[in-house]
Amino acid sequence: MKQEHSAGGRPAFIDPTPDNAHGLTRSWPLVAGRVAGFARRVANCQADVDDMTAEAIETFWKLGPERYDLTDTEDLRWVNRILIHRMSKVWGGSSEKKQEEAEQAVRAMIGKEVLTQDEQQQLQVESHDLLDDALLNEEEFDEIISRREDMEDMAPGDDEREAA
Amino acid sequence: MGLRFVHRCGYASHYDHRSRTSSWPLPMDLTHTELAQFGEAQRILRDEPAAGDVFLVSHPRTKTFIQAGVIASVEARGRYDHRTPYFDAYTIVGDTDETGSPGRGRTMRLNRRLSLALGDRFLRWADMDANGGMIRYNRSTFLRDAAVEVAP
Repeated sequence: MKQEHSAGGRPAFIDPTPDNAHGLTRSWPLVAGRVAGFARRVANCQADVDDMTAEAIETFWKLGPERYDLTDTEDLRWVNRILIHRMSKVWGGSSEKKQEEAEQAVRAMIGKEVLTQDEQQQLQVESHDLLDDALLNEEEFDEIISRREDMEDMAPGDDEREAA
Repeated sequence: MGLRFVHRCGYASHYDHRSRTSSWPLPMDLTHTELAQFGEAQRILRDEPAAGDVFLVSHPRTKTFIQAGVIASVEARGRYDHRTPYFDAYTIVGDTDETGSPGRGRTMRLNRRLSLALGDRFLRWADMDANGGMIRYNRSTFLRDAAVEVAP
């Protein structure tokens, strides 16, 4: 005989989705403002904005949004850093020239202190990739990010403008 | 919490009413991370999932484990950018919701993408039976006691 189990009026089980679309849908709005703000700030055209946003969404999905409590400041900063790092790489593309342009754009956002960084260090930053290296070594990733960009250095009010 | 669901299922499914013991081998009073350490000590911590394994989901920032569940089946495996391996598994998870996040109070069947590169690990608890020992349930703790035998 089939037994029905109730969970407070809701079904005890819900069929899964193949891609954890529920998690992505619920969590994405918490980072979307930063992503959009960064893309608009750096990109030259809407196509670049779209590419960077798509990369951010895919990266977010790969990270597994269900792993993070995005209401926690540290988790939010962590995820934002990774997304922006990845987006800036996408915008730079595989072209060395565009990579340099991307680097300059990021430097311009970060501020004067980063302009004094050694070029070799910047090249080292470019050689690193998400998931493979950064997530497995927090200290190294923090070092990379500190040389490259920091969300706190974005122009104040980005979030407010996004909200508006 | 998710671990409680795992232990309840494990304990009940391994319970022998005649001996009033359960052969469920995993200790119940450990945190997720302690359970991983236990698995490492018992040499049952695996890098690839198999049906029946208890999986532990990592939190990449804090390098801790935050969630546990049961692997019902492994559906696929692949690599991100031809490099970082992952596994798509059909899982059963307690204390979650449709997003898969921990601490949400429901029991769900979820397709989860688990990755060794992100820190996820798998407990092959079935391999613990290889030494022939039995597990006796004593109040809130599972105690390993090789002297206890299952009634015929």
